[in-house]
Amino acid sequence: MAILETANIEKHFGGLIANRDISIKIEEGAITSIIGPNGAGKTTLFNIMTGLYKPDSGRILFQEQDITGWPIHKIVELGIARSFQVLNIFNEISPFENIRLAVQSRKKKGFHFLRSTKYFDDINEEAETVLAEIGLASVKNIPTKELSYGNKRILEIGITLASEPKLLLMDEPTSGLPSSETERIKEFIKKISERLTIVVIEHDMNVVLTISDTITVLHQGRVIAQGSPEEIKANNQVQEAYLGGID
Amino acid sequence: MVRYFRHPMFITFAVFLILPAFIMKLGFMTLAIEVMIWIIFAMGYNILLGYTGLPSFGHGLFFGTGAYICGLIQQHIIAGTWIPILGSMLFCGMIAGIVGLFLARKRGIYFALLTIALTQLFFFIAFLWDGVTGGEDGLMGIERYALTFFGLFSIPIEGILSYYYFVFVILMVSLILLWKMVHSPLGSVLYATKQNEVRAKYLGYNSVLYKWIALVISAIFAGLAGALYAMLMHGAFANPMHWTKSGDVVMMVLIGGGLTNFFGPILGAAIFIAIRDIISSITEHWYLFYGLLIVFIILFLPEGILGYFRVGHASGREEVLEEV
Repeated sequence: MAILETANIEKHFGGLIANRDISIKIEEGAITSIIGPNGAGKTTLFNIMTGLYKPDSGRILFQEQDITGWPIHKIVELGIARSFQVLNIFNEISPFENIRLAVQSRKKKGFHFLRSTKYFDDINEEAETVLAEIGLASVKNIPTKELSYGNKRILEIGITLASEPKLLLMDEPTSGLPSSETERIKEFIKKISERLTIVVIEHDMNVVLTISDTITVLHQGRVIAQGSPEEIKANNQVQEAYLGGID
Repeated sequence: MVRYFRHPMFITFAVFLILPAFIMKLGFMTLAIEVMIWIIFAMGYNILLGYTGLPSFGHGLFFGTGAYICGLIQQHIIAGTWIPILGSMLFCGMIAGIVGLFLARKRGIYFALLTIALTQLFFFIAFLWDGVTGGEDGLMGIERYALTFFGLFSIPIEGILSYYYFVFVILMVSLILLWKMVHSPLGSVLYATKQNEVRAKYLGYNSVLYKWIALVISAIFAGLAGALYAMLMHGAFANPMHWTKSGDVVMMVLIGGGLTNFFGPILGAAIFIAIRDIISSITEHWYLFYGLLIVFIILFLPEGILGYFRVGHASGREEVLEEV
């Protein structure tokens, strides 16, 4: 069953066509990779799926509900979380606060204004659990900006996990990381994929081919291929457009 | 226990509690009350500027309106103290709620320019609407009626000393409320919105609504301060709403270091009022010297006087302080 479905998505920026006639289905419980050369429209598609941009035409369905044009926070409330290509975390507060804010939002406690956050035991305990799971418990109270780049990447994934999404969209989770760290993120994605649906935009072919159940290939704003890793590897059109003859 | 006595909140209360003993005879009481009123204004305003990151240069609008509403309620509805004060707060909150519908969607320079335009609009309304606001002369005859408690007993506040302690109590309540607020879930979301609004939205927070709330809270405190000011001066005037005066509260926050320290605006307001009063008794060009001070602070203390000590802001050296 498809958890997320796009129907004929079109998005233009002036003369530039970022997405044209994109209709894809994201299968529940699977890891779907979206690949394609730079400028293929991958991030634009994420932005449209999550309400940051409105499509010029077309519709987005999440669990069969039409969410086209909804504001971001409403879409997030339904159970979609997202990490960004360029790190997107709160730098001025601690990792613990980063995670705690995510848990607090999910529990809809943001409007309490007289009780200190430290007395919300349920929120704080869940934040601790997430920190332990992502392995950042030992650095939870230092300023976030002092974390290593790899740990910041992990923290951003932690933030998205803390909102307990049904669907997680990850935009190049391994970009800028050394190969040892890439391995760590890869294992982590596999681990969390047991409990949620993941869509990942990724350039690292090693990562894409090992973790994906399905791969969608975008080229110049269009879907040019969809299928299992084996099918995509064997697809001539994809090789010409993008892979440039791997293997 | 010692920890509590060293808490800036306790020190602030202690200083203002005993201050009259030293300044009563010197004739500085009105000035000290004015400082406390501006602290209430600046601390409330800092929820918007320091914690939510929205630079309003138009908060004189709410301060001035609060003063007028206090006088108008006294003169047309009920000759008391509580109702006019609460009415001012409510009315300012409502104005902020209405203008906030479009202001809360703006950021940075657009937000700032709109607030300046708004305060100027209200300035002209107040200045030209003679029949209601007294126009250029101001709305005179605002009284400090005795405080009554459900008709059981009453406390006069007409005398300068009793009015001082009335404002002092309101200051204490305001500061404790604001301290609670910045440490609450609401405060944490406001601060998150300031740092990274896109991420806040992607956590599921309706950031526009939160910014709207911050605006309304700051306006309510501005209205409270305006009402207290009207009672202090026995009148309400359009001056604080003029765009050249409306930014004073911003300066108080910045000088004191309110962007990174909860208590910054206390020091900022005290310094601002003191300098204005001391230098303006020597020369009427006091803004010149004041400008030099600002330049000095921006060059050498870019985070304000108390800026280095991050107190009541969610990062850094906060552990040294326990909640009051």
